[in-house]
Amino acid sequence: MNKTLKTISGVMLIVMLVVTACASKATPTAKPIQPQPTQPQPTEPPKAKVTVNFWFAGAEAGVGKEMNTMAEAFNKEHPEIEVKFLWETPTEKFLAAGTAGNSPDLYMTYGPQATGSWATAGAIAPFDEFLNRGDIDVNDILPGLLGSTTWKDKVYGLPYGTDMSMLYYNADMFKAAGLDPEKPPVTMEELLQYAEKLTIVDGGNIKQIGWLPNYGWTHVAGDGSITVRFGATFFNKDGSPGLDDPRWVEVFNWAKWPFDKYGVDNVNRLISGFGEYGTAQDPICTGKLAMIYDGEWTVLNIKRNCPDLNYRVVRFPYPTAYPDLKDNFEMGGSTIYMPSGAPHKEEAWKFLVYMMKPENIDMFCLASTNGNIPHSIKALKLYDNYKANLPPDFKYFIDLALTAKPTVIPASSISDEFFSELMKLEELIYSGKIGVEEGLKNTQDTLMGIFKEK
Amino acid sequence: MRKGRVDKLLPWLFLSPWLIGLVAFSLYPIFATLFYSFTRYDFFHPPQWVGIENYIKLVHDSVFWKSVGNTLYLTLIGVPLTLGFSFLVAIALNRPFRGVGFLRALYYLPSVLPPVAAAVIWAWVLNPEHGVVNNALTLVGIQGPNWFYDPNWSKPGLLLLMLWCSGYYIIIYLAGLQDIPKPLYEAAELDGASRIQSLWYITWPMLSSVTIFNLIVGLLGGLQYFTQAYVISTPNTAGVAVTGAPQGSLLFYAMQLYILAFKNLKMGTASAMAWILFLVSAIFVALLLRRHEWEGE
Amino acid sequence: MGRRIEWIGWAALLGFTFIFALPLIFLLLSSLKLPSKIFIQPPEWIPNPITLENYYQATKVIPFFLYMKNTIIISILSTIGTVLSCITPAYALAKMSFRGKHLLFGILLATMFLPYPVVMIPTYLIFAKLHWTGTFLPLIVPAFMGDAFSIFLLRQFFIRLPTELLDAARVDGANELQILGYIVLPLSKAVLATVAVLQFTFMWSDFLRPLLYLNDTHQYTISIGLQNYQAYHTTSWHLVLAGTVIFITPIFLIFWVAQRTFVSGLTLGSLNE
Repeated sequence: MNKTLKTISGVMLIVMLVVTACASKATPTAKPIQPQPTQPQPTEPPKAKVTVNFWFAGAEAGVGKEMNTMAEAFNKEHPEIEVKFLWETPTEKFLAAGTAGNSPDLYMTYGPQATGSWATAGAIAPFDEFLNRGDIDVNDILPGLLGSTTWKDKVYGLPYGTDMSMLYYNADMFKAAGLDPEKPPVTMEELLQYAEKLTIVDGGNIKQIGWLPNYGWTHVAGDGSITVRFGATFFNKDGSPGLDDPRWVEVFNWAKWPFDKYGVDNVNRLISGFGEYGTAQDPICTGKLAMIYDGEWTVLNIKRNCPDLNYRVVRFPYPTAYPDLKDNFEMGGSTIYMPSGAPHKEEAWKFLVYMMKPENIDMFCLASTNGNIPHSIKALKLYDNYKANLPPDFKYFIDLALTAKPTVIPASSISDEFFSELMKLEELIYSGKIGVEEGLKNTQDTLMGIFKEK
Repeated sequence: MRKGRVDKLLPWLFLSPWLIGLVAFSLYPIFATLFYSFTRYDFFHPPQWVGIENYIKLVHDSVFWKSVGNTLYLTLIGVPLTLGFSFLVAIALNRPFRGVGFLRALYYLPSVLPPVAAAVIWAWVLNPEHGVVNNALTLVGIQGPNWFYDPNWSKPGLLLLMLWCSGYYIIIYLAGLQDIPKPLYEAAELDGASRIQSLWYITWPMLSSVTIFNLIVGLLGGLQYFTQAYVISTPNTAGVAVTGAPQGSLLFYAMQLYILAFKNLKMGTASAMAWILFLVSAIFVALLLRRHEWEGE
Repeated sequence: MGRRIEWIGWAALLGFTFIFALPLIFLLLSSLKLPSKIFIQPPEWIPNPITLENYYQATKVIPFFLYMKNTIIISILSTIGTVLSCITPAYALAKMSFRGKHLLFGILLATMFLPYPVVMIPTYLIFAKLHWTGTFLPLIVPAFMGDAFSIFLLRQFFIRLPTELLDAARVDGANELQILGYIVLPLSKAVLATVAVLQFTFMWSDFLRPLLYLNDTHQYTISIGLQNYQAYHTTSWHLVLAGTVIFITPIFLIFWVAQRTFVSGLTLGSLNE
């Protein structure tokens, strides 16, 4: 053979080697967040270590430290298992991984909305067989929480930490507007009246606004908490959409007030200029927004970002027409799912049992930067052990969790699509592109169509 | 293995790397897409044959038509606009004055930036409250529109981004301009033609093949438009990614395809969209290249 | 009179150029402002005070070096793959004769214009079956199987090489590989460089493929890293903008240094048809 052929084949060979080397480097192991310990443990028992891959929709900055602490302790107790985390994984990636046979063993989301859709698609597996073993006390979970993660009588999701939302308001802004900070609005109508007094418009530009129905996590659609105050139906028993419930009309008529009053362009412009939610530029911190309906974590956010803010947190108002719903609070929060293709279900379950110990629940919920409400009654009762870390206002949520009547949004096979469509509808209604009744009817028809197909 | 045989086989050997890729990543997928478009396929269960149901569903799907409309808007308005703009800029930069090299590089630069970065930059530039465009407009007393927060202005905002990134076309036009022989202009000038007339009667026609090439590249790019719109319209509100905001005005064809396939797990319907795209592109290209002759053929 | 028009023309050009450069200027200026100063009305044009705090913070929350490293690995490997795998097919299409050459060239042209979304799903499924999703492989391996546009560029160049030169070598007893190696390639340095640069820039900026195939944030490339950060923190402009500046600087530099190669590549592709 002559030189050129040799050179070319030599080059090709080198290239192949490089590619293989890099490919094996690049094959993912969901890296743990701590620096990797130096390579193979010399005295490894002959049984291969099982890796439990646990993916999170949320960011590491929130609960990473606490999860790592749990994992470390667990890994020590169970040397044949190693738990590894992967953060900021959106739901598409989770689903796509399932298709490629690369499922993780566990996945934690922000909320339980996907339960019905994923269960119907066969993407997740029920926990019933594991729960029947009795390692986790199902009765210790706040009553009703499992309602949103159960589909067709099987439990597909386990709540981990839950959320409740209340009314936060800026007492200084109240005073400046001539309102008594000790007398917050009690009904939804009063809320809007207060909002009007708290809004300042200067020549077409809104300088500060009293209330927004779509700020942060507070969408009518986003997690539906406001809708619960009106008692509107999300899903019927069979999972079909309930937008034909006339209370939805009331919900939207109430919600769209700021857009009607101040003009959708002006409001959108104001919103476009907001700083990031949960940071020091958050409009509640910078005095652009006077009242918000937000979760328990905001207590920590405010302490961290704008500790000088003179705020109060009280029960969210109820509609004058439905005083019996006064104590109706929506609950729902992070949910853990097990993909149907999870390679190590048994080991994953062991870790879940470990996570469900009250101390661990408390560590995750109360010690982290996030701040969640423990979903376990036992854990809630241990609050006093942790309260030093938390602003005093947090206790308000804890007490409510133990005493209030929670409402959960039931699971449905079309829950993903439902919330998607509802978000789109919300946008259209607020911008005045469609009337409330007409919009609701259209969306209901669309969703019924999707529902029937499944 | 005599020389004749080697001669016959050698070209195929040379072609082999490409042929493998061709079959695996071009030919097979095209037919696979066609097949999947007749099925219902959600990844977790095997594909189920459903005939032309996906196509019928698409025809009745307003979201589908919305994505078509948005894409056509950008393609049929944006591409000619971009070409016209780059043509004019190329003409302006076609003289040898001091610093022309610098200017040319400057106009070309944005098109070299990663599209994600360019999109982020323009999302900020067009921010209704704090962006430089609206702030500048306020200086002259105009209330700027809400750009990417207003469904009527979001696509025009993308058009501006497109124009900003048209450096690629500018350079190609520049090269083409430099190929036009000077004597043509001199002759026209002698005959009394004005600048505009020479532009219309000499420059533009001489650049027709460049224009056609740019048109093809541009139109095909427009039909596949994805990255910039995805970046601008996907804020992760409360853990729910909302794409196509505001109000679906930035929902483009390729984006809807991606959402159907990877978010809604409707691979069959997505494949139907893909196949439609294929047919449309094929027709476009065939029409435009019909009369073109390739060197060496 | 003509002079006056000249002046107006000049002013217009300079004015327009300033407007054209404004987004980049604005990007830079904004990134140097304190967060509290970015969100005020009326706006402050010149940052006061000028701060590098945003850059510092951005590097803490976005793993630049990691993303840069990933992007470089992917871009370099796929560039190598492209250059290596496109030479011989281009040469075959340009200078060799065989049955079906016209047809294959037609197919080459057709695939040049094939929109990616058309093949996206089945390609994804292929890689899913191979368990290559979540790795760099789907981004690198196809590069080793030729790229239609690069082959086209090379073919257009090769075809212009005088056949007499090659025939002379053939007469001297050289085989095709030797001709390729000793005669053609040394003459093709410029076009090879162009193919390399174009492919490198393409892979560097690519967004859709990393979006589809990279799951682990540790594997993210620059494009998807920036987009991911921006999606979660969309209104933390001070960080997003500083991050953007950091991300575009390398391309900026490469571009400034290698301008000519960029430009010549484009013109080769389009005009000489």
